Amino acid sequence: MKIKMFIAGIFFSFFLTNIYADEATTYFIKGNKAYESGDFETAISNYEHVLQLKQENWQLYYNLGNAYFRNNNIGRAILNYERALKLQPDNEDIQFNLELAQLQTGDSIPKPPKEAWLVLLENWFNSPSFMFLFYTTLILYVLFMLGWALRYFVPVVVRFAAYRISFVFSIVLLIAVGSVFSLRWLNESTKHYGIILEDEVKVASAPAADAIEVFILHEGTKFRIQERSAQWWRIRLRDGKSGWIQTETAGEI
Amino acid sequence: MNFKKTTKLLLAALVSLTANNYTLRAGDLNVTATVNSNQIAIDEQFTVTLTVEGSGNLNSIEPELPNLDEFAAYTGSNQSSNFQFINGKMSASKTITYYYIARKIGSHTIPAIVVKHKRDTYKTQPITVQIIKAASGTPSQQQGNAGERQGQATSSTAIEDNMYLKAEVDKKQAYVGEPVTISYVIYTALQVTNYSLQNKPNYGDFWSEEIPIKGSPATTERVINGRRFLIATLKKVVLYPTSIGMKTVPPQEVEVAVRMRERRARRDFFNSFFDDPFFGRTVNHVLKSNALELEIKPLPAANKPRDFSGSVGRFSMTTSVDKRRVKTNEAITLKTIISGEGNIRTLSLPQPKFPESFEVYDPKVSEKIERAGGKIKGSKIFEYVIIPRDEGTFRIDPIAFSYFDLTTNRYKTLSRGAIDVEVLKNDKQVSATPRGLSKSEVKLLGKDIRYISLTHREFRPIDEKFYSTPQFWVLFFGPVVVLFAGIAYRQHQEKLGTNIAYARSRKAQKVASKQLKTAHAAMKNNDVGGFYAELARALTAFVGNKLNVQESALMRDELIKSLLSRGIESEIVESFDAMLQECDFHRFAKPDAPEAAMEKAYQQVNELIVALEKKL
Repeated sequence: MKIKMFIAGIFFSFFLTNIYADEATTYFIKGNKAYESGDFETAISNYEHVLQLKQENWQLYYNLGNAYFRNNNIGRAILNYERALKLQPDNEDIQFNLELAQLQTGDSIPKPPKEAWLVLLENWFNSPSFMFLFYTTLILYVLFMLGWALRYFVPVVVRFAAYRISFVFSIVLLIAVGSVFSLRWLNESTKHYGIILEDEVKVASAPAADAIEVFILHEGTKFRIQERSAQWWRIRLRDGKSGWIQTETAGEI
Repeated sequence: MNFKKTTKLLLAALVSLTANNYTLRAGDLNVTATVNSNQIAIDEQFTVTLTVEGSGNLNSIEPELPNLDEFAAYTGSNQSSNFQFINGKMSASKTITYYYIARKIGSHTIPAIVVKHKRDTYKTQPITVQIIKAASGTPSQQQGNAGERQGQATSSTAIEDNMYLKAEVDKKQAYVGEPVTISYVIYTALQVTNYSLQNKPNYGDFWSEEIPIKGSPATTERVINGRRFLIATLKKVVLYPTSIGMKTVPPQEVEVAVRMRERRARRDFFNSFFDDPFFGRTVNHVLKSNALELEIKPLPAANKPRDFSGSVGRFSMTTSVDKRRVKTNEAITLKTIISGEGNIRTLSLPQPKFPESFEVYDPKVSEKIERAGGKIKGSKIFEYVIIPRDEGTFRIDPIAFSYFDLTTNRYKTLSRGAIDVEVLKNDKQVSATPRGLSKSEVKLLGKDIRYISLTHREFRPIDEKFYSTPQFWVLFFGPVVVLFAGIAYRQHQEKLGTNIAYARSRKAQKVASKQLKTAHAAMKNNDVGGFYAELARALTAFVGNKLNVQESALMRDELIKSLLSRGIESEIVESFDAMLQECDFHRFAKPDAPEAAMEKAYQQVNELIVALEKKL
């Protein structure tokens, strides 16, 4: 009896819906209406409400970024475009608007030069979204396992070349996609980035109010978060500079 | 004076003090307007200077001319720009100076100057200026002690007869922009020990350029009306007319120190000795020159070039670039030098045409003016920094400069040949690019962001991880279960094929239930013998299958022995034995039984098979 209930529970959970999804959709549409009529402040508050419900998708971040852009809040626009891009890395609209927003502000930090093939590899590695990689890996895994089980139920299939070839092929594909997925997972769970939100932020040499100012960053600049303490982040820039900033002056992507 | 009035005055003073420098900050441009002085004498020239500072290209900035028609007349403007790269960031500034002449007494406001840049509008603060009456008289006359003044009064007629100041002009008629040289020449029969220029005349409708006189002025002697005069040029100024018509040049005042040493000693010793009580004394005196009338003619309209911008004189031009082969994103400097005689300061150059892919910054303008030799000569250098963004061979069109030549009284256009620049590909694309925007970025800036997305995907919880859904775990472990099931199934199938005992044991139940069904059917037909026969067969076959006993050895005693040896409880074995005996009895001895008995036997066999199945 207990086993039956457990199985029933699992099946029931398949049809369990996200209870906030409808409310989130309502506010998202409200935000879009406000944006269309040019009332960007209302649009922002509606979109932010969805975030308070702890609901997200890339369209929400993209639209919120647009509303902030129109409201001349470039730092927050960039932050939200970056968040949207994290969920949907190969979306052209997000990339375009982000590039445009970055032109308006931000410090120019030179990129360390890289080999062309490395850049290409990196782009290829980062272009599919994380969830896409996850689903692909999962589907490949299920197909591979069922194919493997098939030879026990119907041993005759082993005699067919098509079966043998697709079996080997699915192993190779699963290993390839699975390792990209694992690397991305590792990357995403260990590397965190942020965006400066205030006009001008002084980067200090230590997490204390009276510490020596090392350099100054401006709104819209992206950095990597290296360490966290109660109110401070230790940040690192692309060119290797690092220092401490107060968390309320910036936002995490 | 009442208190209110004093406060007002104080306030006015404060305003005029602070009005000098106003800064308004908005966005990335810094726009400032200044005046050279808040108190201006009427008919005097004053300047309004607009400074624009910012990062990026300020080429496009064309501020509106401050309209001060109510109280001042516009005479011209001058532009200069400057930029530099510091730590890869560009800062640029542009300074525009407007020249005006004060025309109306009173307190006036210079309105805000509007500067448009990109999508923003910048405004300077309005500035209040006071236009006051021109200072009258010469203050020096009131200075000095009483005794001196008395002495001056007595001697001034004597001095005026013996010396005067004359403004001499090289021509009475001139074109707009044609230099007119005015020399202030002192004619004196007395010994002048010192002099100082008192006022700077207001040259209203002229650009003035003073030619400094080095050291003590050279003197010549001339006899006029029989008297020997010493002549010296005290001041020389070159004027460039800015508007047409009859113009007056106001007089210049010079204070001279005169040594009153009469030539009495030889000629008229006794008279002079007693007449002049100021023997050997120095007396200060102010001389005033005559005013001048000049007729300023407009430049001929015939054959006026389209790009003519008011330069008059004689000029020559050279154009050069510092390198003709560059890599993309490396700066080239194009230098155009215009040198010659004329109004260098107001000279401007038409914007040269550069290829599309070149990024051009506002030119850096510098001027060198030589005043030696009584003429204003000089050169103006325009340095354009251009950055090619694309590779290829490009041609910079000839730069043309037009001016009115005073020696021939004709317009002349100077033009230097086209310059070819070869741009090579840059390997270090990224590091060589200075901050500032590339052409493509500038093009992008003109664009707008793309519209919001009106459709959306399903909303997901923010902190949802891929492994936090039950679907994931089902899909992860489901295939594992299926795989193991497959393996178990295969093992079972293989055992069935190779192990007869296993196979028989597995199918025992099936066979037994089949036979019981036949028995049940016989019971319904009231076939007592058949019923008991089937029951007995089902029982024996079941045990036989379970124990893998040969068909021929299916005897009751044998089966009981085997069952006991398998450790089956004696109770079950006994009821098994009893059941078989009952069947045999009904089959052979008494083929007749009530329905209730048959039903009971059927139940018992069923129970027995279940009990045995559990044990075997």
